[in-house]
Amino acid sequence: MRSELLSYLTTATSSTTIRTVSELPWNTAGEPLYLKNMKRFYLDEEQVTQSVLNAMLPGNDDIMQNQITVTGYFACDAKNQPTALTTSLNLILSAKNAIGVANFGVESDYTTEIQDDVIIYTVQYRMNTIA
Amino acid sequence: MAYINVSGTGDFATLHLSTASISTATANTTTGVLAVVGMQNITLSNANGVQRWKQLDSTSEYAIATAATNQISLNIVVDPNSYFGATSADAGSATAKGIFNLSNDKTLVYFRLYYQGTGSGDRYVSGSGYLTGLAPTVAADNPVWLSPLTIDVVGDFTAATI
Repeated sequence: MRSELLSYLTTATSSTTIRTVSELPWNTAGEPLYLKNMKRFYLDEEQVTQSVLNAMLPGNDDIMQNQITVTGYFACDAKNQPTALTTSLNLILSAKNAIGVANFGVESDYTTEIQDDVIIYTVQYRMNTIA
Repeated sequence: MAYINVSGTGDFATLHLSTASISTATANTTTGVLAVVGMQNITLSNANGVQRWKQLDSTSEYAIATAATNQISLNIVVDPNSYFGATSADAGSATAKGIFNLSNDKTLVYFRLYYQGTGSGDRYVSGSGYLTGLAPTVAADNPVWLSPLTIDVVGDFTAATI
């Protein structure tokens, strides 16, 4: 899911306030990239949990589902928030519906955290697919 | 005390269906026998009827067994070949017709339910009946077709060993 999100958002946010970059949100000198480069949206590696969707009698292979989670981050000035921030957030949240990955349940949300004068947006995408 | 464990390779609970009597001693060697795949669970029901009565000379009821209602009920994940039939199979056979057409055509089917695999010495219960209760369903939160299935048995079960 991460590659599809990255591909879609890179294009979709190319001219918006919050732009998507391809790097993982790794730390440099103890500081995450999204704090170092504000107003840049970083998508972390996807996390996958595989579980049984439909249990079968032994001898019939169980049908498995993948529960995929991708977390993204960006930060901006908390005192002077960028213009059109709401538009960017809506675009980022709705990306889950535009990436064309076959699924049976997809959700997204974001939470915020203020550190000093910076507000950090943590966006989470969750998707269920047949494994 | 022993028990029947179906979790080992070769010990799986297995259901075979056929449009003709399964007369062979071994399992699934008759052309056209449909091995039902995608079983989630299976229940054999041998529900004896009971006639009860009271007598003036007793403080407890008497009872006598009457005719049983025999059924096999199961839930399956719909497998395209098992459900709709395989075009390469002999026409009219259970394999060719598939579960849906066996039910839709009200075809009398002969079955064997193997309790713990289909090897030599394994036990099974056989009989004949009609497929009923087919009700495939799919849902947004489970995008795989699932269906209950019942075999309403005609007459008695027969228990035997391969």
